[in-house]
Amino acid sequence: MSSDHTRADETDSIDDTDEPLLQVRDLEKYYPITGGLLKKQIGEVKAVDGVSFDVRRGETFAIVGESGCGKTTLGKTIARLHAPTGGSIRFDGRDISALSERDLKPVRREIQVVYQDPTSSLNPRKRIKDIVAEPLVVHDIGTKAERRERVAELLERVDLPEDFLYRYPNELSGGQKQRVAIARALTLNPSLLVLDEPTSALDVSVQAKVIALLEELQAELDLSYLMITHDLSLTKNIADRIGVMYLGKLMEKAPAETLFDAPQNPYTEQLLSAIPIVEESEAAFKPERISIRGETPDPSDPPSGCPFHPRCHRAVDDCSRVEPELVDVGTDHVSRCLLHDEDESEM
Amino acid sequence: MSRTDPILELRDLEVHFDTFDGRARVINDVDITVDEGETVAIVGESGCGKSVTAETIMGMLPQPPGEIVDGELYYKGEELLGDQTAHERVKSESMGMIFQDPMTSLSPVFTVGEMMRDVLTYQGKTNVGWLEIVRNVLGRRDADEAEMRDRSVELLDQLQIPDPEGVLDRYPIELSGGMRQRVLIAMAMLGEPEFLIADEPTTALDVTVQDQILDLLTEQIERENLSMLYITHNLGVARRIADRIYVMYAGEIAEVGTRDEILDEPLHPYSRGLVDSVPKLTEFDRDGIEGLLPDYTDPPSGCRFHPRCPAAMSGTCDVERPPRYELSSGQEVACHLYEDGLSRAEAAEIAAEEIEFDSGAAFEDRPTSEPAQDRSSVKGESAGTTASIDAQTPRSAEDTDE
Repeated sequence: MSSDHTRADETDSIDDTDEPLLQVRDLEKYYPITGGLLKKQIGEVKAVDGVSFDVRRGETFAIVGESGCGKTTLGKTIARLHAPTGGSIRFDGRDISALSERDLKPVRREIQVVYQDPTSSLNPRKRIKDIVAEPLVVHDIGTKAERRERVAELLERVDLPEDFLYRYPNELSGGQKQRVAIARALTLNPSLLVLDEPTSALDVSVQAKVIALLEELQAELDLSYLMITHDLSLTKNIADRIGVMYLGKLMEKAPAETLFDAPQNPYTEQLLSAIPIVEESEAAFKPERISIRGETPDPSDPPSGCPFHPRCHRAVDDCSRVEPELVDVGTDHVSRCLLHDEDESEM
Repeated sequence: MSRTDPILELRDLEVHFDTFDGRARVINDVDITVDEGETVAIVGESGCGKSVTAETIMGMLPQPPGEIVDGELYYKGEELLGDQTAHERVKSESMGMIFQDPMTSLSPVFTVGEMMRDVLTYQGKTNVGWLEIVRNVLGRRDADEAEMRDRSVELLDQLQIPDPEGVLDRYPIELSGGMRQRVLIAMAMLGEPEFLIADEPTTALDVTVQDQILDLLTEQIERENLSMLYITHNLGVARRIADRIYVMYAGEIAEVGTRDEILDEPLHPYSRGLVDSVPKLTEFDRDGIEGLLPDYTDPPSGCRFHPRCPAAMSGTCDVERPPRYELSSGQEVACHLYEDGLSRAEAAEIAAEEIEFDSGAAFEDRPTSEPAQDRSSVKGESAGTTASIDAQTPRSAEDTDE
């Protein structure tokens, strides 16, 4: 075993000059499983299990993974809609993982969430103007006239016409509704947006425009994005760095180009190989076809050793016994696989 | 491309729906041909009418509110739309259907084995009386039971379901999404169909599982020499599975061609916008397509795509509905930019010159009740008719995928 391997967590050391906006360290969110007459805890689901990453100022960090990998729980925990059961979340230099509801209120102005399905995230009984103004009301900001002005300005910012102010969500198309959800998220001038599958309910021709808007807003308002998605082709085009999650754990984390050009983790390889490409020319940009086995196992009863070993095309005997750690495999590039250690020792 | 006789031919289909907002003229003059042993995909976005087309072929269109106004459906030369008994018979004898969401198309109160047994018992039968049902429930012989079980196990095994015997005794809720979809495919295969219709069967699945299901489906099709009509909004899936692709927009066929023709160099402005909008490993064009699907109760005159089309020609596209022009390669495009007999190279040149989506104002988000300013006459004129289809046709809920 080589001593070159530093624990990955330490590599994201805190640099005073350019401190990342968000620093997540060993974040855990466990849910208890209860059973029996007395509702005793009989187990736990490790929805987020020791996840560490940074979101730098002005960047888009994407979390990709299949359903049930814990990516949505991760987003909600970071926005402190859930309380973490372990680890730390440093936002703008301050640990927010254990703050009380009251102390969280100013933080909530800085971190906003846009959800996947605007039809369920917008209140159907409120007009657009009230939906977008609601954060101002909750935080008791501005007079009535000021609020109205802010809402009009936001609607214009997301390219919606002014007469939408008085409409209800059901009068809008999917893309328009998602623009309203984005406007609402921007109302309080946040610095971090958690985008949970923001375009996966939309048709591709509408998705393209919403993504263009998000990128425009990011450049203009200096926003940082934590984007949660299952669409790998999309992340390749819009993310600066990507973390791949599987069963609550980060399997690989790398700058977007590196992840697609030289994926190190077998799970990432499988994900990339399963991307359904549209144009023939894309074939050159994805790995050889790998025949993929099985499905994500039950998160309440994860496999021993490496969580991915039952489906892995590179699995060796040790994989079911030894749990791999995240190790450095390149610049700003970490991966969790036993084979990394072996490669190293062969050299 | 060598063409054999079509196994399925849909001609001039026109389907209307009665809605609270008036009569929605949804499917307008749709022709679809599936040759023997061929897999054909219909691609298009939510609300374009692809599922309505599939339902019509399967004889499952809810009538009312739907109404088949015009059209013929030939299965191996036999007309079905005008003859419900023939449709029922052909459907149960030769067609299989795989739906999008296995959780809603499998019964939650029966085990997989019970459902498969019922399919085997009642397939090919119409108008089963209650007497027969009672007789079947009470008097099923053990030998038949065992035979049906063997057949079910064999199919589940073909679909690479681990422990098929055990799965037969489980309820759908006890299975994972991928397993349920495999069970659904197995059930569609039970009747030994010649023709499969699949309506977004992998949309609810993860990419790795989708990949497995597509492999299995391709395998089944090759082994049994099946023909298939595959409905999807995912162009990548269409590339994996289809020989030929129909692009649908607003209830009309925009373009037909081989998989590579459609996906590598689409000619219709809509197909081009659609293909361009998909994020790819090579690039991602963020221009999208301006505007919304038209209101089906008052569809645009001429070409239904003209209000959103960057190459629309005032005086032609808003007046005259384009016929499907056939290129020398056999590809067909319903667009006034082209004419019959052009070679693909010539057509591609026209497309490159004329079709340019720009990233200007988000027309998609223009008000739906007021005319937009600063649009050319063609576009401005129709802005008043664009409205979200979601609120107006009964299809939208099922069509909104993912």
